Amino acid sequence: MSSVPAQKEDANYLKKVREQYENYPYPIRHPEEEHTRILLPLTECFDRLNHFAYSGRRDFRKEFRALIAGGGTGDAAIALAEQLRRTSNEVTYIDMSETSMKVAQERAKTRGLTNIRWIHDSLLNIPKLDLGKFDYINCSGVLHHLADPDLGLRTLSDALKDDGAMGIMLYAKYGRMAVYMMQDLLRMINRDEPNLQKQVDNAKAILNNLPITNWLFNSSEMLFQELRSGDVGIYDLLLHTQDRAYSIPELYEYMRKAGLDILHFFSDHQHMSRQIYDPAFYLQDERLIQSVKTKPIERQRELAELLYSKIEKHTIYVAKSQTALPSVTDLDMIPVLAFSTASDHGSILDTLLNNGAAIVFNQHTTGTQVIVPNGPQLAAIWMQADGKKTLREMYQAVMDKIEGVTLDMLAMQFKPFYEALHRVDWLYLRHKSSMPIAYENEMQARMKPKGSAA
Amino acid sequence: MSTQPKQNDANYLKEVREHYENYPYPPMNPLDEKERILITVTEAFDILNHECFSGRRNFQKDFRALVAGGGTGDAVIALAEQLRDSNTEVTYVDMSEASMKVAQERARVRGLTNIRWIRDSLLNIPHLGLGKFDYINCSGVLHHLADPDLGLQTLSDALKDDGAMGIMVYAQYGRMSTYILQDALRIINEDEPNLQTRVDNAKSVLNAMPSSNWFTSSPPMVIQEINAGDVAIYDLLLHSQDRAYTIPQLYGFVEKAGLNIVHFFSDHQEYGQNLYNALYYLKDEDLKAKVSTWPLREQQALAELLHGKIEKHTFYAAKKVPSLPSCDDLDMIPLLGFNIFSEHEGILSVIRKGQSMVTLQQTQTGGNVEFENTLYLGDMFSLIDGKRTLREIFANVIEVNKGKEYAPTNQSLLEDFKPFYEAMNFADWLFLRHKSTSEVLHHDVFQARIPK
Repeated sequence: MSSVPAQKEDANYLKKVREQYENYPYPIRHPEEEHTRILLPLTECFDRLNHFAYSGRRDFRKEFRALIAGGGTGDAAIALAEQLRRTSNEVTYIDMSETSMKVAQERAKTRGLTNIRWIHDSLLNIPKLDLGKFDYINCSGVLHHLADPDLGLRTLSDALKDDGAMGIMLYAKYGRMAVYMMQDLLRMINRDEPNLQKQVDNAKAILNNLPITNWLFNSSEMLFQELRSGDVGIYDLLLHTQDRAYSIPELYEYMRKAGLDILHFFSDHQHMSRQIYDPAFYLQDERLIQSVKTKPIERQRELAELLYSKIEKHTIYVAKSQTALPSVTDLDMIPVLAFSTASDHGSILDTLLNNGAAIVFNQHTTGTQVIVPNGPQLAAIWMQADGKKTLREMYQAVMDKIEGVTLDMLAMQFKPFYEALHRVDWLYLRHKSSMPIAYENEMQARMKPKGSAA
Repeated sequence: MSTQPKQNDANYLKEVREHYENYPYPPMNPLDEKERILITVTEAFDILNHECFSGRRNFQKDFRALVAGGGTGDAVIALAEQLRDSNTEVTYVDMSEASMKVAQERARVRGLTNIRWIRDSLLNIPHLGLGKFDYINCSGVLHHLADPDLGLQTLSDALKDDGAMGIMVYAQYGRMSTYILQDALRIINEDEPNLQTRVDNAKSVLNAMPSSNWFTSSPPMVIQEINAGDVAIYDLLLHSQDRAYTIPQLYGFVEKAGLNIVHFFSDHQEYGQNLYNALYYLKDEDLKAKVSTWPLREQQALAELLHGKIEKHTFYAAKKVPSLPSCDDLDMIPLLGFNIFSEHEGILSVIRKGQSMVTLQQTQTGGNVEFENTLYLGDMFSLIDGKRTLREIFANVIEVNKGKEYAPTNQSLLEDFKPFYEAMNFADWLFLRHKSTSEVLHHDVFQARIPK
């Protein structure tokens, strides 16, 4: 195992945490896999980033300064750099683990990405690095590992432009309950064991014979995947030396202290979609639902987290002030299929054509179900949706083809359809002035064929 | 539905008092006393004498017992029934009038007149002139006080130097899912003053609860509570004052009050006394060797984390750690525990089969005990009646088998009996009491003396 250079000592830049990530770069990534797929983390997809953080009006071709703070093995940096490939924008990557950075760099090299600036340092040193201010900062799975998470977030907030946004992932308290019990247990077991590999071996010995009563067996599937992913996953989940988590009230308070507002919550439990943070979804009694709906949104989410109780991370967009969401009544907006559903355009059209008054869409990968009222010209409108035409152009094209329909009639049909699909993160809006969305197959097509000279 | 507080005490919480006036806990029907006696685990004189009084306490003489926070009466009825013929009274203290009335009615049905009833907070005990006690029960009470430390100190001050306490407090990890649901229901009910509507809201939330919620994986005993009606739901999910202890916290809590933990009980009977035994859960030999060198309390803390779902800690505490009775003392009388008493014949027939290793399985609880069979074990076991001393049992076996090949001696019988006793005692199935103490009576005897 490699040792860690003792440079850049900082009380908040924990020696043990650095040592962990030098030995166990997280998450495990194999650079050659870039040949076959692109990974796009939830928060770094330009379809939704533009929608939720920039009112759909951000043109990523113009100056867009992005920073990945604690970039690890490179998921977010690669995703951003790939989407910004044909722009003049550079992405800044910073991480304190040299081993992790090497993996990320190798991935970028495999993809032929040259638009990443690599900095080996702690994110707490950003003020001294003279990097300027950023339009977007990603910080995923990092702040909860700092000795002083408040200082970490404040540092990033200070590096963010006033109209910038951040994509943040933090551990959530209740979903990780069983993990923290197991961490306490393994801290006891390993208290006089300095060797990292022996610590992992002890953890495996405990896991192999854990009594069936242990809460860990009732954890969410995502945590089990971590455990199955080998030593690195076990170390990160169960042996981390610095690890905290946030309940919804703690999360709001944490953001407020750094001068940030929460714009949007993502769901990692895709079958739940965004309903995961909606308490009404977990209640049946209409009287209780109505009573809960009168509570502030923050309180509602607090309740939803308690009722679902296995949200194990909070993935959010934040900004210095609330941003207006793009509206489907703005005819200069372009409907954009989400990355996850880009290939479903045809099947959605088929469903519209072959059904009566109400349509039920089932997304097979996630199990999400959407029920939408059909309309006489809805299929015709949808046929025009190509991610390039504005709503005005789409409606006009339909009016040109079908006699007797008015723009109002079309807009009235499309609005509930858009809203239903948007609620499950299938459909977004971007302004006509913004950069067209490149989908995964296009991004992958830019890759040099495997085996060709770099 | 509300009652007027007699005393004003910041630690004597108004909401908690109101709760127990409306929902006396646990719910009990006094007429059930005609059919059965409940002997709470900590109040059974077989184990109490063994674990806390070296088997040498004669309960029928000057044994002063206090039940602090006696609720609907389980502990006080168990003690008073066992002390029916003694020369002392059992003292009951509880702040809930509704609960005390249930307990009093139970005592009336049983014809018990040896209970002194005091309606007050246990925190007022120093002002009541009650004197010191040999035994104090305080089960499911201290974790509901605003200042549990003060509560335990108050009881410790009322305990004789050679006295003992039977305590139950909630355990942290096993109630993890309960506390998350409590937090959710606090939000649901934040604007709801009516207790019954709060309970109805809780039921409605339970009915619609997503399967992801940790509560659905709660320990079986917690799940049982929500099926036990409004009172149990209120006590479990809507309590206004409720805390729990991990093992390290528990040791801190008990020792701060000048007490020692003497014995842990297991409510998860399938684990028996292994519930708190870390070495029982560990299979890796290196880890076992390492953990076996740790202080007992750290091993117990590890066991609690490994099991994960211990939802209450039930234990004896004492000011001085008493020595345990030993079968080296032939004036000791072996007696079967209350929970296994009726299985004497069955156990005997298993031993008589003569297999070299014997495994006893208790069908009801799944608990089991394994021991090595020996030539005269059946003879010895057949003579265990809770009245004969080991000396008498051994003499009888020696007499009957005189002149045989491998004829027994006191020494050989003791060597054979000891490992059997240790295995049975570890499972809380076999105890010792000194011949100077009075006989331990059993449930059928108690029930036979109930007036019709």
